[in-house]
Amino acid sequence: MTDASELYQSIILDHNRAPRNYRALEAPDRAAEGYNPLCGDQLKVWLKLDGDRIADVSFLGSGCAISKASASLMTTVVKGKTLAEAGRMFDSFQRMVTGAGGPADDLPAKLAVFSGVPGVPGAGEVRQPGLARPQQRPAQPGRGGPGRFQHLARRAGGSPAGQYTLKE
Amino acid sequence: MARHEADLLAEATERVAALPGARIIGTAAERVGVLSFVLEGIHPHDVGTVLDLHGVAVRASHHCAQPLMERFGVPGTVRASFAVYNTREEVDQLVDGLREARRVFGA
Repeated sequence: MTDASELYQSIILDHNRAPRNYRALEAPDRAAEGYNPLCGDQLKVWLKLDGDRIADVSFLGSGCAISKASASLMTTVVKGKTLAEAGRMFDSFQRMVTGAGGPADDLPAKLAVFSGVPGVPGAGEVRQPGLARPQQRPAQPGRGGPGRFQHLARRAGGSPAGQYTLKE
Repeated sequence: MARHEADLLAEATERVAALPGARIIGTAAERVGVLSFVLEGIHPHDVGTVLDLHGVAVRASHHCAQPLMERFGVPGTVRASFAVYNTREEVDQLVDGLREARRVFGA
């Protein structure tokens, strides 16, 4: 890929300029914060649940266009999904943006705009698309009660990428 | 050599500063051949990516100087460095790349 407009397609520019669900949530059921110390991108994500379904989701943060747009798009696609469905979509998305391959049929078409990420030089650093994807797991024994929220924003494959620290 | 670097820095500084929305970060009178700046409305990482796709290598981030970035109120800067092997044509390339970034991001 040698053309900036291939990476920064209009949907990415749109969601970067006017991110959806860009606000804090009052009294969330889940909250998590991700920070990449290597590049300084940081995001906070909040969820409100209705049973096991995501009733509302929002985020705030600062980062590059890819990270903000992917977070914005993420909130639009996971709203209304169950935690399990969102988790599966997250796994597919991570595989896609890290170039790990594998099926991605369960991803909405609009997320395909990020399929070019692995091809960009240095895009190994662009693991931020995963940053805003919360891992919806039930509270794990011994690791705190409900509200404990694994922020799955690590790069698969163990390459020298920033580690996201979980802050609650 | 020092003169060459200083000339490149001066020209690059003037031309980048003239871009709409550009803000030079660090304006000490005596500097080595390093130019730090931000473009309004475009995250430094995205400027760096567009420049990279344009064949220009810069550093773009907090440069491991987070307190300084906070002081300037920016998430990071774009930093171009000039040395003895750089040329005036490369200053052109840098400025063209920045214009491309402004075009892509509609800034």
